[in-house]
Amino acid sequence: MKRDDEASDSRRTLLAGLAASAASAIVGCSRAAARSPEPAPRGPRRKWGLVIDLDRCSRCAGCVVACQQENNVPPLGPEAAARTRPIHWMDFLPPAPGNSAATPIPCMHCEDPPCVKVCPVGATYQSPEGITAQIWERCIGCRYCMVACPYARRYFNWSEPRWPGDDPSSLNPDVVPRPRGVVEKCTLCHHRIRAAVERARVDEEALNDEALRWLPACAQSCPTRAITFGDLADPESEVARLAASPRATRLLPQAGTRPKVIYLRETK
Amino acid sequence: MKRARAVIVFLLALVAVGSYALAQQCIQGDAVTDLNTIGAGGAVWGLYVAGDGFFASAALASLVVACVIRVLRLREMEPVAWIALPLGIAGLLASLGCVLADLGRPMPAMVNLPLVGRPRSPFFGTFTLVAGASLFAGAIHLALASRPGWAARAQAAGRWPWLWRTLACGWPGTASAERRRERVDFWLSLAVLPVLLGGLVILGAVFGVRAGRPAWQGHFEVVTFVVSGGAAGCSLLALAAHARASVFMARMVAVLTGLTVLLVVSAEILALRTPYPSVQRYAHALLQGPWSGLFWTELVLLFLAGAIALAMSWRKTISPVWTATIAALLCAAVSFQRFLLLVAWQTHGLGLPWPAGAYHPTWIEWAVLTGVTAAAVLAFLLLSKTCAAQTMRFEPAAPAATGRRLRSLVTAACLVLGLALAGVGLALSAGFASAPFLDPIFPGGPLVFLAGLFMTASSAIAYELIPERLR
Repeated sequence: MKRDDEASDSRRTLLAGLAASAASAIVGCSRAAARSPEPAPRGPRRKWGLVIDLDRCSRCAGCVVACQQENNVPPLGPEAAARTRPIHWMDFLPPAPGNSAATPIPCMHCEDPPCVKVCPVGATYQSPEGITAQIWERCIGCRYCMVACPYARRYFNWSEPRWPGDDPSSLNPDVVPRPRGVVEKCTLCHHRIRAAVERARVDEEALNDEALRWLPACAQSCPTRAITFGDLADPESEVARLAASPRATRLLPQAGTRPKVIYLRETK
Repeated sequence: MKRARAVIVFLLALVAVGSYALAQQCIQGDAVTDLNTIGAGGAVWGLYVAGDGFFASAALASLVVACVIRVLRLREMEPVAWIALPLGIAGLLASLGCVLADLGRPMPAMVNLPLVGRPRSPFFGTFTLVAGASLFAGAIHLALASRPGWAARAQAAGRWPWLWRTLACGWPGTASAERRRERVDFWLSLAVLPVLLGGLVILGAVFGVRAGRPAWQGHFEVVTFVVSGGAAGCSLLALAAHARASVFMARMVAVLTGLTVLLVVSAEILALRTPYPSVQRYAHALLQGPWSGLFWTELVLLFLAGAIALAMSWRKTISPVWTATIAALLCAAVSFQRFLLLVAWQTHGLGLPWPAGAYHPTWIEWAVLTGVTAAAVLAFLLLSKTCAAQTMRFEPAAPAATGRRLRSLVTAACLVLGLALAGVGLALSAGFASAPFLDPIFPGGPLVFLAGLFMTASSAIAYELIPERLR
């Protein structure tokens, strides 16, 4: 009887050991395999957004140029220009009939982004802070996200990117140039945001709204301060205050995508 | 014989031209196509994706017809079911070729899709259900159904008896083997039918459903896509089965074509009366804009094909010339429909006031598509020549004893393990137990899902091939 008990005890110990090692192996594997493109945020969750005041915007296209420069977007060569294959992460939407002026239009960083849903390999994803980002390396170039985006805010690299004089020293080292055959888009200057968040963490200071407001290259370069960036989840932030204004409007609300780029204009 | 050789040489020449064009595209990038950025006056999906839509829908429709014939055990329609399998497989291979030609990075796609494919994307359904499961199940179905024919060829004095003997995998030719053959045909067809229909609807959704468009339009276009695919598939089947094509097939083509015309016209009328400006722009571009030529040609071709099919079914006489005419008219019309569904919307149906665009495929795109089509025709000829021959009768050597237990066990194990793998693979691909912005816990979920589907289909092989006699 005692021998039976001992045998059953040792069997139980063996099984428990096996289960524990299997569980630790699974956890280990899952940690190794689940490569997070974005570290999980600590503290309250942010929701980055952009407010563009159309009544202030002078349509100088400074934001377009700054965006190109900051994000290593290749300039349009003569061949691409002839075939109208430009890449402008920030562009101008032509005025609609009855509207007097063009509208600066970056990626809308929708709360319910259709491009993320259709990407077959998870190359485009929504970060916990609401940025619709793209992993260039994973993109297979199917262009389904371009077809799905109701705002047409995605660009495909039809040919190998080239810079004047083929000089890579003029490129921003913080942003990886994209190869031929992948789709690219506005990242809300994600690298700048990450640097700011990291700086605040090292300095043990809270990220203040004033430091954030002109963080993306488009907002920084705007001479009329028409573009404001910030945390839409923070009701005290300037961007949240502007988003709550009666002048606030969004593009294509009927698409149900809930854009986080909000426009301000006098007449809706 | 000489004419057959000339046709094959011609098709091979077309494949060579297509391969040259594809090589040019690989070297120089997609800049050699006329595809362009949406919103900047172009279309990002063009001839290749339209070709994929045509080939895949016609192939799936013909496989559906084969399955329905086998499930309902329509003996008089058996020749049509026979020819549907090679037609379906060749069509699916062509659609695969079109997709690969369209991808910006086909090599990373072959690695990334099986490793980190996401089921929430309709593309997942197209590469697992359409290109994977349907193709594999169709190939198994064809190979198993061809065994008696291959065994008869091995028995007859002819060329390569060793090849036919190997392919026949020991077909015994007994009455019990025949019964088992029929059972496999029935159950495999029944099991594959939902996969084929699911694949067809998912493809339709890829073509029709878009963010920002009214739901009715997307749903209408999915239905039109499925019905018109059915019409094209049936017309090709009737052509491939030529002398054996029945009046029933002609009736089916007439009904499906009539339905397609009705759906296309209704969608256009509804689009014109909708309050959405983007949908109205799209409808006007079809009716009197730059795409009107293709739209009206599509309607006329559909109308003509439907009228001829109706006349044939009315007179109850099947003419090979008229069958070929119907197939040509319908294939052209359905290809135009796929093209318009994709391209006209991108150039004229955007929700925001981007400038209207245009798309004129380059010679490289035409050459690649022609090469893919020629390769598909060659594949069809090869398959139908080697597989669909059951004219000879196989004489069994001696009756064999039955030993069902092992066979049933292996088949059941294959089935259960396959379904379990498919379930696990789907859960893993869907990112079960991981946050939405993270990768799945284990990469390779789509591969496991596909392996599960393949194993489930392979249970038919186990059931048929495990020998009757237990040694």
